[in-house]
Amino acid sequence: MSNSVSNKPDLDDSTNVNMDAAAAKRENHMFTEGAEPLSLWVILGSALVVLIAGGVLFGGNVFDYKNFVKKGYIRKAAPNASGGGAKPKLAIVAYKAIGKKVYDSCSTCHQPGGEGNTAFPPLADSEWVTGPSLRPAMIILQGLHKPIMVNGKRYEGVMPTMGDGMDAKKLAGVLNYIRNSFGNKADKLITVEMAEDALLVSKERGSGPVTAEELNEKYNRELKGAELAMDTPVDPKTLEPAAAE
Amino acid sequence: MSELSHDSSTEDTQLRAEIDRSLRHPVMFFFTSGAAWLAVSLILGVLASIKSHNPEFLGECAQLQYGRVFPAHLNALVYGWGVQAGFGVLIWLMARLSRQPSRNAGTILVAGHIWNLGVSIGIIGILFGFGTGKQWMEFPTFVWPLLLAAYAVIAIWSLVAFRIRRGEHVYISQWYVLGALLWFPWIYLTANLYVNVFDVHPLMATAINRWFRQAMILLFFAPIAIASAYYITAKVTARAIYNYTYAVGGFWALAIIAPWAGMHAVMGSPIPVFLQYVGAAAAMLVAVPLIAAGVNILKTASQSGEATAHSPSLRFTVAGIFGMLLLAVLGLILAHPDAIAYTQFSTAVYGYEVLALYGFFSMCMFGAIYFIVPRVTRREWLSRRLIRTHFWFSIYGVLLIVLFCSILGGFQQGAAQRAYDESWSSAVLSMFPYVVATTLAWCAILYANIFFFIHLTLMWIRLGRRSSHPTLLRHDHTTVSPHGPEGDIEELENAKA
Repeated sequence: MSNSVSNKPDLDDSTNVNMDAAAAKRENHMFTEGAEPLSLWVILGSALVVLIAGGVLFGGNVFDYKNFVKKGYIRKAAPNASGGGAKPKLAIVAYKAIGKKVYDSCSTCHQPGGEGNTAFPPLADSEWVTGPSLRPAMIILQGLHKPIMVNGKRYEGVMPTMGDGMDAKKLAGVLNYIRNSFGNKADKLITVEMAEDALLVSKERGSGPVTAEELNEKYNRELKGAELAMDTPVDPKTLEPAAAE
Repeated sequence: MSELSHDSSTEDTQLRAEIDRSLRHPVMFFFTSGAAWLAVSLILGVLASIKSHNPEFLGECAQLQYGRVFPAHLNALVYGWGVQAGFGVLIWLMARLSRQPSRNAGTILVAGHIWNLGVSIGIIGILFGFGTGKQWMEFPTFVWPLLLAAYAVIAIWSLVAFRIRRGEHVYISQWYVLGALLWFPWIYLTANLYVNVFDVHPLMATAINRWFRQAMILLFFAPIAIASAYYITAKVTARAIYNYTYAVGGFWALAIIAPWAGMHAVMGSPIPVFLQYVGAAAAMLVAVPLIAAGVNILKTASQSGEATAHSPSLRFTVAGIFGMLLLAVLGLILAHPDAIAYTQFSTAVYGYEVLALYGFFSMCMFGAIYFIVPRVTRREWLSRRLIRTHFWFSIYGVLLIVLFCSILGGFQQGAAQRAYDESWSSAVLSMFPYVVATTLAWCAILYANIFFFIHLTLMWIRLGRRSSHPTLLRHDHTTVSPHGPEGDIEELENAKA
């Protein structure tokens, strides 16, 4: 095809449009200004679009600057679902669950059942545990040296300081655990707020292990804070009381 | 087409031929390099799609991981193919409609090379880990001023051509081209300044990024495609635009509505509520101007069914306009806040963008290319079979990706993501058949466009058919060549001599 036309380069300056610009030559003129009547369906269809979009625009609180997010848009934690949102638990169960983990490091000496051994006192049925709640809190936070009398028996073991890295949640958890396990039965729940009271007292005292005498003299009282019934439903992670629903 | 043609006067033909000649180098450069980028983008798209269901494919080469290949695929599609095809069509259309031959083809060509250099640096930058991670803006940040400068040099001459146009009448395509010419620098500069330069809150930068993506579709790609469709349809059918007032109204409605759309994509995030809801309403309302253009073009084309069936330009254009109407419907569905809750983090967003970029814009661009290239090269397309392959594999591929994988798959994915009592991995695994089908669909589109690229390259190197008979998609089985008797140009010449 192409070798037979080499005698006439098609894009030279003396363009013969009839021969070389065949495509441009056969082009149609354009008639641009039609004015056919619009179909009713087109108008109705466009009106439907406007209606739906208008519903979106004016249906909500478009200029509400307080609520950034449409109500109900963000998904709620599903009831009875394992994955999303934590299921509320009874306060005592939730606190003890946290405390049980903390108690793992106590059980070497005090034993998993809280019975203690010859050097370390038992936690089960001990007045030091179930009595005024500031005393056990101080022992945990500060440690204890010098002998301690428990149920008429003398124990020589040294309790090391456990306060490092112990936050109010963990402290409350472990206090509730030892006060409500091994056959112990405390009448009051130690809340996070009460544990914060203990942390405050401990901070004011400064570091160094306490003695049994010091505990009885200075710290023989209950922890301060609002009380919470043991069967209140709480969020197992934050330990905040769960919403009423 | 031939029985509808009205003989143009020689003067008109001469002017057309002069305009076509003046722009032949930049137009062919934009089309051919665009088609090459399209092929690159599709190869990367196939690769990214395979990686999404078969991560071990091609081993552990860092340059070929999904996180780099996927943005490279999208950016090559947008800046390599989409914008360049748009450049080719808009400079040619503006010159033709303003009846002004271009006097700056060399400058445009140089700027076109700079644009290609920028895109190449950007794509290589993404593949080697210098991407920004902001969708459609993944090029390393020093690339965007280069691209913007190249754009200015390319586009300014079309504005000049419009300013000194012959005749007072402004055709509807000119409105759309003019809109695209002015909107692109606005959205591109604004988005890049706020996302890449100014110290904007990251959340707001994300919202601006989403606005940018929507605006690129509605304010750059859509106007060029609609301009081209109005032109091709009126040209090929030789019919008046169905209702011209409605067409012009559609343009102004698009200009007013489209800039608001986009930020609905981040619905539920703590940015002011009105941005989200105005965005959603605008993304839905934009269906009104799209319907206006669609009805006008389809009504005009339907008056000449034969031309629609036989002319490759018109067939691709009409397919693209159907894609546009589907885009309007999908926009209406996907931008509704109730649907966003499901589709926000699903493949439906990708499907919407693929439909806009390929099913609508690219199909209209193919239509324009099949119309323009024979005029600027003065050669006819070589093979109607290649054109048919290009058309049908494109249609199959894009329908499979958009309707099946992205929309159906997207809603299923969204529903699976919201199933709180199921693990997240089950939501991911439920997408497996859809991503495999996406791979197949991209393979089909790649197949179509490799042939398109070869066909276009042959035209570019002037190996097209030399004939006065256009290449039409007819099915007649005659003994003569489907393109009419060969070599009739020589016969004409001999007869004259």
